[in-house]
Amino acid sequence: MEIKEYIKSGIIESYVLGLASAEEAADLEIMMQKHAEVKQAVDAFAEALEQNILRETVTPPAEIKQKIISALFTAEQVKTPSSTTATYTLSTQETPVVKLNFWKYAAAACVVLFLISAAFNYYFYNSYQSANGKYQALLTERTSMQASINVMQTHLEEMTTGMHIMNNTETRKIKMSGTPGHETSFATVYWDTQSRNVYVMADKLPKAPEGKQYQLWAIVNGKPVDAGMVSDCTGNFCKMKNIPEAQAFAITLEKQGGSVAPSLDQMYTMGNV
Amino acid sequence: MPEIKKYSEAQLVQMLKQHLQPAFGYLYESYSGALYTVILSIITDKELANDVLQEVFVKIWRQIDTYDESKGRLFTWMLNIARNASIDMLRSKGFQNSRQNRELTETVYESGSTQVNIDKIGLRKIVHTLKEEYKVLVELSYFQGFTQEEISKMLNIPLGTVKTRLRNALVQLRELVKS
Repeated sequence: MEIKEYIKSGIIESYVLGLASAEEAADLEIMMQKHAEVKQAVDAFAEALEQNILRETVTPPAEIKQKIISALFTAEQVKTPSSTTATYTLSTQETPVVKLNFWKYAAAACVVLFLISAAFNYYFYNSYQSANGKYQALLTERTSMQASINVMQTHLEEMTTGMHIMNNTETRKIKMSGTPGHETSFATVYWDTQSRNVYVMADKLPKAPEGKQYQLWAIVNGKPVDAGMVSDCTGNFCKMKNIPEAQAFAITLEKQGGSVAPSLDQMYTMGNV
Repeated sequence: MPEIKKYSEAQLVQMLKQHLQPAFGYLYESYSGALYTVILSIITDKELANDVLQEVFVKIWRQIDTYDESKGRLFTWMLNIARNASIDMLRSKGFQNSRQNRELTETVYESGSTQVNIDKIGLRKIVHTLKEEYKVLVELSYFQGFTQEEISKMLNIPLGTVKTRLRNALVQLRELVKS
């Protein structure tokens, strides 16, 4: 009896039409589970209402369907009927259709901008790489040119110094001719009689063998005095030791670093003052 | 007319829950008219009703997982989504503005061309046949979404009376719906 009264009370209709309070709805859901008649009454009214509403309807404008489809399916991944195992993550956010379109276009714009930016990045990175390569090459070239300039400058300074010494009227020029067996050898000593500095130009000597060096000697009162190692200077015009007095100069081939006394059998050139 | 495949409600629900795109087409073809009619019974402006309809189908598609078959029919669930979305629109600022604008233009041109005479179809047609004291309650509660407390204050009727009268109105509504 109580159930019949309940069914007739209007609660069924309130529930189906969405007019029941949350409490009433919860009660009715429990009643539906307990009593089949309640469930039947709910279904019967819902079905009658559905039939009634479906009987006479206003068709919405045709473009609406397409709008909804593009809102739902261009952004979301579409599932084909065959793939039933894949899990599907549902976006439950309640975004209005208009906003959805906006974000769709915004996302598309972002993607396009990103691609353009990526292309530019690639292009600029390549340009940077090639420019950097060229810059490094130029830097290397510049360094080697600077080194050559330094070498040239040193040579020039040496030559200038040499010229000054040679042109000086106080300088005496002592030609040292090749000794027997070394006829092709030749060297010149420039001796500043004022400062007593000795210079030697020894570019006509054979290349010294490994571990050997040419040594200049001043012959002072018949005794050889060490005047320095010829190959210690880089250029052809070498400044030697200061020799206050000498009657002759000679060059011998000695062991690396020089000897205390000349090896007379290894004498290449000699010249008197 | 091409033959349209008919799905049972259970089949349709299953397809919808799997988010199969063909299910959307079927759902739309079957129910867009009915839901649009329900929306129009609350939002008479066609432009706004179009927006609500879009919103409703998006909601149905995205929230289908929350639909519980044990609590009622699919249509009932969709009907409530449509009604709630319409009432939300009714309460929104955008709607209030558009109504003001429309009232202004109507005063000038006396035109209502964008509106449908909804009293002639659907639920409104049934409600129209109810007696006056019932009609006003259904109008305020169902079509305008006011709570019974609000209606009690608006009409200056005790809350108990509103409750009983509305229940009676709904029982009578059921008889009319069945026929």
